[in-house]
Amino acid sequence: MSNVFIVQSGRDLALLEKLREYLMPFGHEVNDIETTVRTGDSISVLAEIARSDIVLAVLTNQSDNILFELGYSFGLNKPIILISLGSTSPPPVLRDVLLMQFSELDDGAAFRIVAAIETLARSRRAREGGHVEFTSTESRQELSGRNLERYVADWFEAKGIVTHLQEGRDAGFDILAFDPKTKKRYVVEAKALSKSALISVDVIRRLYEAAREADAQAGIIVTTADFTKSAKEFARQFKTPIYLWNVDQRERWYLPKGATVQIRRGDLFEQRADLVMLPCSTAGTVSSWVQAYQDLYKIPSAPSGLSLGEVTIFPAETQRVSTKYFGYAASVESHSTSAEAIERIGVEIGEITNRQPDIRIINVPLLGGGAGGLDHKISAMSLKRGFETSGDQKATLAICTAETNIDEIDLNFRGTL
Amino acid sequence: MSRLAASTAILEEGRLLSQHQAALTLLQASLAIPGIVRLDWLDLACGKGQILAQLDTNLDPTARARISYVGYDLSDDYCRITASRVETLGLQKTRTLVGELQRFSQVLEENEQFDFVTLTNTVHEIEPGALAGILFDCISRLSPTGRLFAYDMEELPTAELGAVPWRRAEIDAIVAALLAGMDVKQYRPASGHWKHKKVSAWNLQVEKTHILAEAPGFATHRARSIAQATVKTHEILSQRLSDCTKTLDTLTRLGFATDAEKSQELSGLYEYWALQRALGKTT
Repeated sequence: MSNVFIVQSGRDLALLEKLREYLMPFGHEVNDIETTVRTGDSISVLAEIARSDIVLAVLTNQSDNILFELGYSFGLNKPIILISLGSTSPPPVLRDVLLMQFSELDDGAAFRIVAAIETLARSRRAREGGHVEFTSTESRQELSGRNLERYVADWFEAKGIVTHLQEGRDAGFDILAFDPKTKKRYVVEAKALSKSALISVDVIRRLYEAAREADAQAGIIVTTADFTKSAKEFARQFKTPIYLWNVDQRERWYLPKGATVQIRRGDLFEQRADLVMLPCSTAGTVSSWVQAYQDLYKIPSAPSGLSLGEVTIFPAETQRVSTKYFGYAASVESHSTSAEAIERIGVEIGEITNRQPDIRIINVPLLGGGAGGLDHKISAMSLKRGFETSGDQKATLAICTAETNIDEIDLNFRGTL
Repeated sequence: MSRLAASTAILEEGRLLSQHQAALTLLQASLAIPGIVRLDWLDLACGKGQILAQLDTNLDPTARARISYVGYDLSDDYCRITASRVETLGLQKTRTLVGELQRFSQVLEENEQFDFVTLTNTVHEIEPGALAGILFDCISRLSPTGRLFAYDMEELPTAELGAVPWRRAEIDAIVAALLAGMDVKQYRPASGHWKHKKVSAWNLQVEKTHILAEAPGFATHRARSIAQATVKTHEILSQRLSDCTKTLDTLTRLGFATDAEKSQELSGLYEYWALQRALGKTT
C-alpha cells in the first residue's frame, strides 16, 4: 500500500473523486488538499506531501499552488507522476518527470495510472530491500512467504500486469494481479513450504472460492512444494481455472492468451481443420478406430518413443482430406493416463499455434478416455485448460466427440458446434 | 428453526468472548448518547446469557439501569438460566421469551422496537431457507436509530450435523440482496472479518437509520426482499454443494495424501449433508 498525495487545482472535484475511486480499492491511502487536508493551510499540505510515498499531479490548471507543491515534492525527491489532460504541457523544468497524457480520465487512463503507481511503489519496495532474485534451488526452498509473493509479483510486473500485495488483509489470496490491456484479473496464493510438503484440496477450494468472489479470470497457487494427486485433479474441475505453479518450473507458468476451445459434435474429419490430432500410446500403438483412419486417409503410423503428454505433427500428404497437418498425441502409457498428461497435450498443441500461424483450427478427440480410462469430463477440462493457457488468441481447439453426456458438462466452453 | 442437536450454548462466568465484548462496546457507546434514559436490547438466541458474563464490569450501574433487556431462545432451560443471571445486573427491565427463532417477531409484542439487536454465534444453526426472513424481521424490529449486530464463525471448530456456517462475503451478498429488495441501493452495512486462533468469523452491523433514509416504506416490500435474498441464498448453497461434491468425488477416487485431506474428507461429508438438507434434497 502506498500513500499517494494528489496535487491538483481544486477546481475539478469530480476528477479528484474519480481518482480516489480508482486508487482506493488497490489499498492506497489517498490524500489531497480538498478532501483530506481539511484545514487547507500550507503547513498541513506540506506535511502531507512529506508523509506521502508518491505524488500524483494533475495538470488541468497550472496555478501557483500546484507549481509550489510540485517544487516541494521535487525537492524532497518524491516519485512524481504528472497527468496531463487535453493539451496542457508541463513546465520545462519538469520535463524529466514521468508524464502521462490522456484526452480524458476514462477507465483505460485510470488503469494506466494505477499501473504506474504500483510500478513506482514496487521500485520503492525494491530499494528498501524487498526485491528478490533467486539463483539456486536451495535459496528457493528457503523462501519466506513474503519473498515468494514479491518474486511472483515481479514475474507479473515483467509482463505488464499490475500487482497488489494484500499486506496482511485476509481476502483468501496474497496477490491481486490486474492486466490493464485485457482487463483480466488474477488472484494468487503463494505457499512457501518445504520441498517435500504437499498442498491439499482444501487450499485449492479456498482459492477457487476467493477467485470467484473477486470475479477473477483465474486463481493461481505458486509454491516451493508440490500438490497432492487429489489437489492436482481437483484444480481441473472448475469454471474459473485454478493454475498450480511450482517455482522450479517457471517455464510452465502460463496465463491464458484468449484461445478458444469448443465441443464439436461428430467425427474428427467432418469439419475443416488445419490440424487433426490422433491419440497414440507412448509405444506407438493406436486404437482400432485410429487404425481405420490411417488406412482410409493414408496417414503414417504413430512414432514410438514419445513421452506421455508429448505431441508430434507432420504435413498431410493426402488429397482425401482438407487438413494441412496430422499429429499424434501420446495420451496413454501402459494402458493408463492422467489428467496432467492430457493437460500437457493441450499445452503442447497450444504452443504449436504460436509457432505456426497457418494452424488456427485443431480437431482433437477426447483423449485418454479409451485405453486410458479417463473420465470424459476430466479429459475435456484438461485439454481445455492446457490449450487455453498456451494457445494463440486466434486459435481454436475443437474437441470432437459423439459422447452424449458431454451436454451435462458445465465446462464454460465458448459454445458448441 | 429447530436448534441443531449438536449445538450447545456455553456459559463460563469468567470468560468474555471477543464478539460479546464487541457487542457490549457498541452498547456502551449507545448508552453514552446524551439524553438516553432507556435502551431496548433484544438478545436473539441468547442461550445461557454468555453475552452478559461481564456486563457488570463493562457498564457502570447508571448505564445498566437504562437497559431494558429481552432474551429470546428456543430452550426454556436456557431462558431460565439467562433470566436468573440478568436479574442481578440492575437493569431497568428484563424479560425472557421462548420460541423458534424464525417466529421471534410473532412472539414479541406488536409494534415493539429495539435500539440494539444481537444475534451472535447462531446464524450457522438457522435453516438457510429462514435466514432472509429472520434478518428482515431483525431490521423491522429495530427502532429508527437502532442497530443489529450479528456475528458468527465461518467454519466450526467442531463439526455439527446440519450446520451451515457462512463466509463473510456470502453474508454480504445475502444482505445486499435483502436490501435491494427493500429498494435500498446505496447503503451497504458494515461487515468485518475476524481471525481467531482456530477459526475465522464475520460480523455485520445494520443501522436502521440508513435504511429509512433511502426506503422509508421498506416494510411493505417484505415478500420481495425476502424472496430476493432467499434466491441469493439458494444460489450460494447450490454453488457450494457443487464444489463440495467435486471435493468428495476427487477424494473418493484418488484418496487422501495428507492429514489436511483426511480432515477435509470428514468436514466435506458434514458439509455435504448440511447442504443437501438445506437445499431440501434429503427427502
